[in-house]
Amino acid sequence: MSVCKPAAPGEASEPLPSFIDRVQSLLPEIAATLAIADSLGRLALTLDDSTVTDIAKIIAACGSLQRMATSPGDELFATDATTGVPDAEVRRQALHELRTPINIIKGYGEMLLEDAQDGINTALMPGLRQLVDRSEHLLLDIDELFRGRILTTEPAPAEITAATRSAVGSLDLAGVTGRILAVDDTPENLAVLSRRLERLGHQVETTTSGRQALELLSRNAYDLVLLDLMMPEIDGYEVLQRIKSSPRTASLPVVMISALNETASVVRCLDAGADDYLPKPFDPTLLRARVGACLEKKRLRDLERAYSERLELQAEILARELDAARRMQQSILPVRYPQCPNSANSKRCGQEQCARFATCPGIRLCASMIPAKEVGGDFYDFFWLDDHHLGFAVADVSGKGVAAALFMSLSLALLRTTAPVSTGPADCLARINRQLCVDNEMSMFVTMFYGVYHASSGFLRYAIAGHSSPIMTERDGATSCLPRVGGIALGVVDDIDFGENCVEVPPGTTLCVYSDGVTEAIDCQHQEFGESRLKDVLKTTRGASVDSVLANILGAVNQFANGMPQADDITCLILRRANSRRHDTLKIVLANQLPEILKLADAVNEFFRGHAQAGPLSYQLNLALDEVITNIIAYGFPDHSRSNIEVDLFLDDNKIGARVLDRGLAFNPLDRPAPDLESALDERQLGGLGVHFAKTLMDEVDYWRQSDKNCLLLVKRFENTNKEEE
Amino acid sequence: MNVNTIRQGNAVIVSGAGRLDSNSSATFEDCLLKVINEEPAVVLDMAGFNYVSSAGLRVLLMAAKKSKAAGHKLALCGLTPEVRMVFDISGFLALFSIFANSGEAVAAIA
Repeated sequence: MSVCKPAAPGEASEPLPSFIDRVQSLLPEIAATLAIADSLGRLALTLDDSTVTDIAKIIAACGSLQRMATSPGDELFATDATTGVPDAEVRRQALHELRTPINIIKGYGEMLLEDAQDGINTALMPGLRQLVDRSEHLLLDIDELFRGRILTTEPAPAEITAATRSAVGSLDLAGVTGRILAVDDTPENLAVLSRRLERLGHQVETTTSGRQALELLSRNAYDLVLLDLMMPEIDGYEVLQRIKSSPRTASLPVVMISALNETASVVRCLDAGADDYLPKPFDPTLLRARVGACLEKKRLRDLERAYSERLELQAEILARELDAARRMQQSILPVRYPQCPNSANSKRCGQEQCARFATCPGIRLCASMIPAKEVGGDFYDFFWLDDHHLGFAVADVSGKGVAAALFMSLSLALLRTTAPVSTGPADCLARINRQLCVDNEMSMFVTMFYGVYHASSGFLRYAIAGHSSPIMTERDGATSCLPRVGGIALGVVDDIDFGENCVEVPPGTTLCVYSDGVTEAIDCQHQEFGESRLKDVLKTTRGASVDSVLANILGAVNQFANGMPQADDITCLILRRANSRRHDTLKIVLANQLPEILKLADAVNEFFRGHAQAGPLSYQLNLALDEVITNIIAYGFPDHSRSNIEVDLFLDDNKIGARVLDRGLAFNPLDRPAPDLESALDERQLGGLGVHFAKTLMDEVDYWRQSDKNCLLLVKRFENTNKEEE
Repeated sequence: MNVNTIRQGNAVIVSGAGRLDSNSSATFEDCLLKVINEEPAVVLDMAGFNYVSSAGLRVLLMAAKKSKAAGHKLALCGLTPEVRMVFDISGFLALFSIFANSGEAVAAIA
């Protein structure tokens, strides 16, 4: 013994004889315990079988304990003759072995004592109480004997027990029960444990092997695992690791059972995912509290998981709904180029061409709406109002997301139903506005540009409700915004009027109608894309196809944003009047006097003179102009007030025409009743023939009231014998 | 516009030149109706009218009605292609006796 160096705390370098001495010092206490057990055994002979069996186990454990203590070198470890010093692990194992029978004695003793307290075999009570006290003493003695040598300095289980007992005293965990798997290589320990747990109302399954535990875990669902740390073959730590590494069982609570009151092992297990630990022998209160707490935690965790799964499911359903809404929204926006409105045009542009362009000769159009969220509040639309007039719109609903999308659907539906029965863009917007103001309790509003484009003349009538003004890009790249006309967003103020304007879109000119998502796209410095960048793109792409113009705009916005999230829906519609090799115009201003018609006739003849196809048609155009202007002078100016009448003549590759503007009373000569052409002389009425001439001789006639002006459009087409411009 | 009348046998041939439109129709109406009232057989030679609008047609319709009411005869001749087209689209070809030239027209009504 003198050769030993003093041991540092926690270090196991004590020589063997000392270790054996210490173990053997327990012998008197062990003998006393055995005597009590024996006396209990004699009493128990008259009692029921299960009690006898339990006491027999206690006596067996006492015997086993005595054997170990009497000759620890044989029972606990093989004596190493060479060094005589077992290493720390061997000693740890030995202590574990030593404590196991004591745990059994204490466990069975406590259970039987509880039975006795409940009135079963009350005669055993004094003996059992002594037995439990003795076993506790033995454990304390072992702790005392080896403290600082093999064990760490952590508080003894009894102290923990006392602390916990008072802490959990008020907790009511009795209601929480569950299915528990108990794993311990000592069958007696398991028996005590499972009986305790069953008394608490739990459903308990047991196994003595780590391997079988893993097998059971793979088959069954448990609420809790009580896992002995020190087991042969696969130890508790490894079982724990496997439980935590399998996704199926990773969240299963595991309470380690540690006979060795060893912080390092316990900490390792807690690090590996164990929820808690229980020192052996089981203190009934501590067991109840820790198992109850773990099950409650598991129950809450399961609830939380069920809740989050339900949330995920709901999120998924919502995502699917939004995706369906997004596809629905995109599908209600027209995606094909405007089809030829009438069969004559269809034939003219040919089947293959229609399949490719599916567009009316003279118009190129494409559009796109990219919502910022799944669904957006922007929309575009285009549709033929009749054979010659293409209605088109871009709109932006206040707000974004689902609410905006619903309002967008309403606005789009209103536009489609209102446009065909409106007298023009301003009237159309005024009507939609009135509809949107009815019961608009959410105070939603929508800005809109709505234009009616006359395909053959290139005249565009438009009205704007609080929307950005479209940009016109001429053939040479010059850009300009359409003149603003009065009008605020739709759905704000009931019964307001909208201004309207009419411009000619010269051949080859591109119109870009957009929502503010384009110009207000921001980059990482919070700068806006802006109108000037948009104009730059339009300028550089002026010769490109409309698809290419659109793609370039969207590409430029995207590049500008450079990963910044899209804040608003981005909508853009590109309309181009097809190029024409020839495009001449002439404005003639007349006084509202009949003799002025002679002056007009001369100018018309002069304008078309020398043109092989258009020249012969000037007679018919003159006649039509003569008739409508005669009507205008007669009905538009009944008080003979002096005024001017403007006539804009135009000539391009395949048509001639004129637009007549006057400031007379609102008067549409085209509304005059058709004359009687069939009756015999006597019944034949005078009048109505002139307008009939204009309608018959022209290919298209159109009237609209624009602000304080009457506008009348006359178009006469001719076959271009030269190659037709596409 | 100038309106000339010449007598050929039992018929009177009325002719003119220029545009027959809302500017000239009143003058023409006065001249033509006066002849229609007085003469039982009138040929209106349209060859000189290079332009006829609905205002001109209105005068012709009045003349035809008055002629018929008076039991007189009225024939037209010398329509330019443009004027014939105007007659066509107004259904006037069915209301008038129309001849290629004044000789045929006089032979038909006189």
